[in-house]
Amino acid sequence: MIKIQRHHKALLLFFAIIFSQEELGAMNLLQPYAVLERPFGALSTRFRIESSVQAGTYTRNFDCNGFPTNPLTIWHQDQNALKMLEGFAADSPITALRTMINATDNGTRGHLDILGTFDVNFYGTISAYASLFCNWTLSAHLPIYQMQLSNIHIADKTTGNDMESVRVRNLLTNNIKQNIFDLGKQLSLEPWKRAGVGDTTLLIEWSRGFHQARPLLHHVQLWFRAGLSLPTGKKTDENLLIALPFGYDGSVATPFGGGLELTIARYLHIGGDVLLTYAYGNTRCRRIKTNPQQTELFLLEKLNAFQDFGLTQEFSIFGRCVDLCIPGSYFTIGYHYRKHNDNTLSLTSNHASSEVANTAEKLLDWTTHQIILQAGLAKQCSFQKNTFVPHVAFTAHLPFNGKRSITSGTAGIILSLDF
Amino acid sequence: MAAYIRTFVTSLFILTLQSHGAVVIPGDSILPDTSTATMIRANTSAYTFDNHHGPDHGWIGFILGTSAHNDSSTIKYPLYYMNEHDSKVYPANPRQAVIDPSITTTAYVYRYPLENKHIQFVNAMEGENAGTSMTLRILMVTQEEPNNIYVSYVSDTQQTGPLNDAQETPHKSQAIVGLGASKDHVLAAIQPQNQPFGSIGSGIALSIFGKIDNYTAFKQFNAVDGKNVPRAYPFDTTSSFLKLNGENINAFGQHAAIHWDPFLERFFVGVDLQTQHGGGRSIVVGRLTEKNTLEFYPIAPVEAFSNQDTIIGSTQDHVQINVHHLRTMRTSTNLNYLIVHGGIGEEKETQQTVFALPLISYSGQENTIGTLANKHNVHKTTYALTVPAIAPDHMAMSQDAAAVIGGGPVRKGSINSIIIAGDVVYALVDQSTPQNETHSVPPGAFYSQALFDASGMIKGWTSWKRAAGITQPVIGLAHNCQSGTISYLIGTEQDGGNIIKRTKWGTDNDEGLGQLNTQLSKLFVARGGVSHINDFPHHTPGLGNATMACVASDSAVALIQTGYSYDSIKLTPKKGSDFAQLPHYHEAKISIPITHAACTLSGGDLAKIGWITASTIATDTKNNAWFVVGGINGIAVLCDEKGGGWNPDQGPGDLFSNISAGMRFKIVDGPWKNVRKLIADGPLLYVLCDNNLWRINTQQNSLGSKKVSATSIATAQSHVYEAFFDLVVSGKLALLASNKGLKRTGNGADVSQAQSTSAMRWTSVNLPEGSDCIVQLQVTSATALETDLARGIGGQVYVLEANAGSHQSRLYRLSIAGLADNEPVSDTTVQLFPDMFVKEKPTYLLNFGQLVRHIATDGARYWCDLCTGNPMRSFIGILPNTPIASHQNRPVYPISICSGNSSMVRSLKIAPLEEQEITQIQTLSNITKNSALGSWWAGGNFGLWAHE
Repeated sequence: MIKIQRHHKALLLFFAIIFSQEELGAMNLLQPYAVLERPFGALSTRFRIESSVQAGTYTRNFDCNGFPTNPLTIWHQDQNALKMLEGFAADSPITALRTMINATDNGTRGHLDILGTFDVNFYGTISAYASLFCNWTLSAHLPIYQMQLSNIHIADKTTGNDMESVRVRNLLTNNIKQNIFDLGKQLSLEPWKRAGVGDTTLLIEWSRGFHQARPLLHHVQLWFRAGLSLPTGKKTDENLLIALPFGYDGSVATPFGGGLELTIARYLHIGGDVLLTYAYGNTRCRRIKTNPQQTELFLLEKLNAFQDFGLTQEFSIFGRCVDLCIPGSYFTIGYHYRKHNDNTLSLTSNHASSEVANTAEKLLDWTTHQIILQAGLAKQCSFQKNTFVPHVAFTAHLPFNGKRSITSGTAGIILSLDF
Repeated sequence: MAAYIRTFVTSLFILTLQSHGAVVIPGDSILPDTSTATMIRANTSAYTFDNHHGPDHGWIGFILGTSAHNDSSTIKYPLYYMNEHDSKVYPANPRQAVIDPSITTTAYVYRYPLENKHIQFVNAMEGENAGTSMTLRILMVTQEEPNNIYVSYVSDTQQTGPLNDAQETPHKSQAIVGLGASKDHVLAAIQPQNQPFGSIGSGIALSIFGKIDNYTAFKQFNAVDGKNVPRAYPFDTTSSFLKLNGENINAFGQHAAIHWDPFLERFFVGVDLQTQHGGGRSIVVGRLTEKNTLEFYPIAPVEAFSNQDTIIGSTQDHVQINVHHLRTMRTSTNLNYLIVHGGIGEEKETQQTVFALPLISYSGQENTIGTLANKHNVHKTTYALTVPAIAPDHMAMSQDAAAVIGGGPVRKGSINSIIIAGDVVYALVDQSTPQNETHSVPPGAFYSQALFDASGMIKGWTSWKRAAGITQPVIGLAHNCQSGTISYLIGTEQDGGNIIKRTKWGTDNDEGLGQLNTQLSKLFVARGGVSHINDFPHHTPGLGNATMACVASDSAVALIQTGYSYDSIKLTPKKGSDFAQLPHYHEAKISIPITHAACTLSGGDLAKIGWITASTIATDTKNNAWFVVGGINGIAVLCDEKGGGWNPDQGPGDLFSNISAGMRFKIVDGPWKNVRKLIADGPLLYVLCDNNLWRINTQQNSLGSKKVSATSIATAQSHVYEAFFDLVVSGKLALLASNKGLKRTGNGADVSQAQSTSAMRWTSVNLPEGSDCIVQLQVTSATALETDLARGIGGQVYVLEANAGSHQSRLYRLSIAGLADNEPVSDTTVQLFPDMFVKEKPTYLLNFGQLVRHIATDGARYWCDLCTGNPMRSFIGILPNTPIASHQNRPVYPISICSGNSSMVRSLKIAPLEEQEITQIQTLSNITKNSALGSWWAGGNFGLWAHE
């Protein structure tokens, strides 16, 4: 017979929000409230405030085959400056330049290697929880980011001394930064640093525990949740290289999902969670392909386009040891997998082809795999008849695989206070 | 017999050699000794298809009839044919299935009715699928049975039996003197018993091949009234459609030229005739009636003829009118012309002349179609000439530029055959013509291309030029429209032919340009490849009696003397061992006299120029002519220490004898960079850079001096990435191609006088439906000189629009009117061809459907630089140009290159090359014709290839 345990309400709430997601482009930093980053413990009072601070430790980036690569080559190994000029109106300056160059793309001509360093300097969250009635909890979450792209190195692969290669170098690649800036509506190949808040998420959760009178399985906790992500975050900067959005790129999104955690014996907890996030598409000015063979970093055309986001699917499993040495202490290890399905674009004008625009590699699915470690301590205190529960935890993200994604290892501290 | 054995042995020897450039078509493996065509004496019996359809539409290139045998092992093969698929010549012994009379039950046995016989005529029934294996019907007349026609088809052979003559009570005819055929009908000109052709009883016999009572039969019909007794249609000296003013024709020659036009669905019959009093007409038009009879009607009414030379008729007494060969041409502007080899005059005189006469192709009256059209007919909105010639001034005359193919006699010897391909007429010559004591003009194939006015009518013809690098006697030529190759039968009219060769791309033709190409390729590939090829045709100012070509690379250039005219009229091409030696000069200086037909220079000031992309022969028209090259970093001129060139009247001389030692290339200081083209017109040198157009007056500024002053007459707008690509200058007219459209000299302006860009009043030439990216202008003028484009009768320009951004290309055609000295440039000087898909909306000729960066055409073949693949690279592309024929008034060959044919977009092909050769090509510089030899040249990273 399953019976609910009161103190598990808070636990339910905790798990309900740990997988609320922020879509941060093809990155792993989409879980400001991931279960393994939060201090373990029930919401034993009416409110909780929480904050985390993390710093990037390393980045690992993966191409379409899952091989580690540079952050600027997750979509293409090199960038094609000749194809960049194709697919424009016959009377446009870009077509004029393409005609002036009068060279074929022989596999190296007009190709450039672009490498850079991508760092997540800072990642923080601010969250607030309020316990409602009948196992329901309301929460709000605001992430904060700072990241940068630096050490951009551009190498021209146009090595031939034939006339076409000479023209390509003279007219295009020798001055590629300025050419792209002029022709690409201020597309910059310079380093950048961006900071700001992400999309705000409001969640409502239901959670309930069921006691299990069994020799091994003591308790089962179930939770379901749904929420709303509001577009408060920075959007993609279309004029910078891989300046990913701090959210759903200006869209409202709806995360929903559920999970369960099993208490095995006294000290061991295992659980799993599934979260699906549907982002409502939006229309904004985006860089699009005008030729199917163009490469993602060198897209000169910017047009209003409706982006229909693919579904984000996330799956987590974890195990946790509780109260092993010190009462209130715990250690958690978890695995997190995320897959984002293909996005699609619908252009709002006839100036370019939606079919061509949808050949963009960056619209294709991407995945991340990471291990998350967390060790923490919670201690209940009383002051003037009021109960407080401070939490502290140390957390680390260890991304190890993915596809078409930029992942950042992070380490930091999480602090929270129940009151 | 000894001669035959000699020929046989010689031919076998040739066939055992490696193939050189033009490939010798071998025999098959079954009969290696007898199937090589070496025993064939083709005489007049070689049959080739005009506009041969090629492997995709058929596989027969040649049909050869054996008119003499020299070996008992070959005697049973009366027929040979060339298979395009496996490029072999096969013998054939047509068989006939007959019921075996010795067996009572119905059983067939085969016999070989043509075995041991000698072919007098061979022909084929052409129709919708002419040249294909399943529908091909070969017609043969043997020496043993000169009045009987055999037809051999896929499974059987039939014969008409002796043809009846044209008398009211028909008798067996004596012989057949001419043969022509449509898809199912065969016309034979017959000579009555014991009488010459032309006497009473002579006629045109009609035989029909088809199903009769469920059996395939081939029999003569009554061509007059369809009655049961077979009878030829009377065709003699009394025929009214030949006479002009009542009196009979004096006599016929003893042959008739018969030609079927599948589009007009008309027969044309021509005879040599001598008029008595009142003159006569040498050609009549015939059609088939629904009753399977013939109807002949005059090619033009009596009123249209006068005592002037109207080529095919005259009212003069006692004149000789000759028709050696007859063909029809359907032009790329969709008009029909009758091509006549012959004319008025002595037979020998007319052996070298070919004429084109406009034909009515649409009319409400059946007996008007195929007759001569008014030469002033204006065709603007319909693809047809509809106004007949009914008065003498409507008739094409032998002096009309529009009528005289090649601008005059071929002057290279007597023509033994004419072949039509696209807008081109080929004339085959099998005798060499002496020039002086030591040099003679070799025989070969010569071609002339039609030039069109803005209405689409022919306004003139290019002068005769040698074709396909052929310098041997040739009596048959098959133009493969699918692959661009030309197969030709080597031999003489008297002795017959014994070797078939086919042109191909490569460097291994030791008899042609092979030795030159091999050496230049080796030299230039090490420098990155060939960047520029230019041909300077006969009569280029400053070259005297020589013709030249320039092939260039990075900091290096080859000067090539492609031919020399030892009598100032006829050109002898340089070839083969003429290029055995290729001296190379360092420091761009001719240190010792050249004394060879070609040399290369590199280093020196050429090294400062870098890649060489342009060249020309400039002259001050008085004392100096210079060779000028331009490249990425400027221009350089070949001159002596004092800046002088060679004498422009004498030219560089045979083997560059007038170019003295000590001459070297010197940089001409100036603002020129990225030179696209150099043009010399009179004393003016135009320098087209990618962002500027300059004009240098060489009389005021010697090119050999260190610095010259130049006038800028066009400047590109750099803020919109405008760049100039090509330029044509002729007198006052200039056409400037850029990625911002095509511009011409404004009305009233003069490119030779303008002092500024504004004075040029550049005016856009509207090219509907295209982008503005104009990358090439290819000029066709009567003299082959680009600078004669707007002189004389004018010329035409192929305009290539190539949008690399969308991978699309289109080809437009412009008609350029000739301007008199005091005539200004006006709106009618440059006009778009009537290439229309929608009525009254002129637009492009071709939409390639992919990126083509360069085209080269002679009117028959369209080569191009086809850019495709990923990674993208260049291929030598060929546009199939299969002729249009009609079937129930609709075209049945939809890939002809002609106005209003949109299906061409699907048919662009990669030219047939060996796999190894295809992979060699990465980039193409350009494709140019060697005007002296007629071979095509293609340059690129692979070096230099010739198609010959």
